[in-house]
Amino acid sequence: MRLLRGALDVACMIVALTGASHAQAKPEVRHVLFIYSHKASAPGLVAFVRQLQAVVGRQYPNAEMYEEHLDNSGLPNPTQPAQLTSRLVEKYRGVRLDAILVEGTPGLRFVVEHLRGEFPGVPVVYGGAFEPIVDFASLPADVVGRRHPLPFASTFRMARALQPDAQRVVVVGGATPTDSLLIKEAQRQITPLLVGVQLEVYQDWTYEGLIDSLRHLPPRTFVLLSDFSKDQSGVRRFVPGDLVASLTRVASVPVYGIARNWVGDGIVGGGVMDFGDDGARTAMLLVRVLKRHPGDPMPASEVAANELLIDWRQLQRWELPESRVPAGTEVLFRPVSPWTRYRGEIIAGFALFLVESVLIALLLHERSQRRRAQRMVEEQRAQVEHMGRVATLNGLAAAVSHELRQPLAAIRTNAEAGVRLLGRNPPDVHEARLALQDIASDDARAGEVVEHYRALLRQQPPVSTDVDMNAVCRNAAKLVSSEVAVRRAHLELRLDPDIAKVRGDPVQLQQVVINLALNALEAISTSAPTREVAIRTTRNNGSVEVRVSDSGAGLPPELLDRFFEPFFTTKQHGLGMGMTIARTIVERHHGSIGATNSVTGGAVLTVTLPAVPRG
Amino acid sequence: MQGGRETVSAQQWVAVIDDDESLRRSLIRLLGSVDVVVRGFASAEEFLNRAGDVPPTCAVVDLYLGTGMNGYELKERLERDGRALPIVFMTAHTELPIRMQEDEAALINCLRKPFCTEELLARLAPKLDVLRDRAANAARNKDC
Repeated sequence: MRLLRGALDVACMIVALTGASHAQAKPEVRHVLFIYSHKASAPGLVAFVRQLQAVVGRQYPNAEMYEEHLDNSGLPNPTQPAQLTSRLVEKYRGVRLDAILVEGTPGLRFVVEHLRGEFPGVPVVYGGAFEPIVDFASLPADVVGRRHPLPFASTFRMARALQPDAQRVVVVGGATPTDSLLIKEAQRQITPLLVGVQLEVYQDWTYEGLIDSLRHLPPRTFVLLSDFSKDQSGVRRFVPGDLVASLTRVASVPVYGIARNWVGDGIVGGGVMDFGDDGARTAMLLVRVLKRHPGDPMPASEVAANELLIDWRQLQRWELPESRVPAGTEVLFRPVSPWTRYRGEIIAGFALFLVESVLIALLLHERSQRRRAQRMVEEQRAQVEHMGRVATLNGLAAAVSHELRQPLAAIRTNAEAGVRLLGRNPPDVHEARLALQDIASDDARAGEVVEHYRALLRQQPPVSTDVDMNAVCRNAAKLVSSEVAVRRAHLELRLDPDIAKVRGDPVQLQQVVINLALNALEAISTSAPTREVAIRTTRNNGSVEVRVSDSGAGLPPELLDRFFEPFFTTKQHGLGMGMTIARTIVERHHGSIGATNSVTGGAVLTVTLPAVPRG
Repeated sequence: MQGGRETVSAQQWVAVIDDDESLRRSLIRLLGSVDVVVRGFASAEEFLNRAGDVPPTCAVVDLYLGTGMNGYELKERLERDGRALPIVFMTAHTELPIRMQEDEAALINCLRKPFCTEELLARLAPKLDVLRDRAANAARNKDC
């Protein structure tokens, strides 16, 4: 293997030497030196690297990635920066580096202050570096990356919202120089927020002492964990992630933290930094740096967005009411019962039912009419029951909710406006009548939404009929339209009016197109300048082709074959069943499905179905 | 309806920006029913181009407005241009624009659809002469 790589390198160098025109025709090989501040086993770094390598590998399948870990704590004679620099220079002599990627604050300092001078002209991309520990403003122009604002203030505010009666906050940090800087920043951020709360900092602790203190904290206190890698004795060194579980287990009060990978290890939550996401985005920045043409400016540096996360199980453990969870917080690990999972949808459905009743009271007085309305209510109620099943189409659950909320909001606003208009002196009957008419049409609209989704999940045996794939695509486009809206994407339908019918179940075929469209929508980043998904139908000899393409980054070539396997997924959330379902349905219809990348980079999924012979 | 509007101060008006035509119409009707002068816009761009010289007193803005600028970007744009407005946001989605998640003031002024109209009126009341007294009383009396 190594021999092969060496041979490949030589081949590349020859290509590079024999001229640019040649080099462009061959797949590009890039040499990148990865410098990590943390040990390879640190959980935050594991997440970072996994995402980083996935993205880089997808863009440059034959990139050469050299890796160095700087954390040499624990050695009797830690290497000094100058020594390390000359060792690395020696080691990478003769390698034409296209970029240096560096993870973490200490690593960034080392690269900027020592290593960069030895590799002139090589751009540096950094990720996972903390603001304001590094003076990002003074970095040279060819050093770009992603910096994390430290989320102490947002974490503190979350803790205060959940524990309004708290009188004491204990900030726990470590003993290395970086740890101390973090503690200073925590104090700076939290001090202005200390209204009626006393701040204590635990920094000079030993592992045993800390465990003991946390065990005996008085009530009305909470703990805020900073980063730490060494205790005061200097004897024990930690990968911080390993320690979180044992600290939270013994603590007598709720513990909050600042890293996403600690959520699940026993912290209640926090305004957390997501190092996995950071890995992916740092990689995208690296790819942009590598794709630059000579003379192009470096891409701009980015500031990572931290997110508010809470572990539902910890809310239960500490008896913190969920009503205090701040707006915009994502709650993880909630047990998945239909009620908790689809509460939004069920409430929306129930609200629909309520509004319906109000409407009846307002509109109808005669008995026969009322009876008819009663029947409508009963039908509606039956529909509400179906909604539990509707929502099992996981990807569409948000869409159902959104599409019902829209008419519901209009109905409610119109109903309340109507009451006001009739209460005026004199009553504005004309406008009130218009309000009632709008209520009726919005109600019909809500009914249609429910009907659409219900059809998808009706537990009926599959039918076999002549199906117009253009109509199927149009319907599918309608059902994913709210996903399209949230992502501000553009969905284009290019339907060939000349296609033949296919034989099969229209609802199942619609499910295929929806799955492909949702997959395409998830592939395009909301920050990309163009966000396009196209659904096309074309006529072929004896078959009908449906193609769904996107403007995303495309699929890694080595994964194209595995794309339709169960549980194959490139997403962090989701089971990866969508594409398997699509394949199963297509094969049941004697068709085929395939995945490729388009010349412009995005993925293209093609479904081919046998046409019904004409005439 | 018409008689009510004539009594209103000429300077004060509210912009309603939502790409859902039916909801926009219902909000215009609601605000009209309490004598607020109101104009509807289907997108942030339409508002920027067509609002005219007299800026609205405040705005009721949907967060996701089709393919154009979103509601929060409109707020940022107005602030950049030195034309900041009090804004009440509305949304039918659970996702929020990323930068908005850190903006507590905006989060507080965001209503989830469907919402109680008294809640909306109570938020607009401090800015609008015609609403100030009546909405404050009504919000106290009614359980939202």
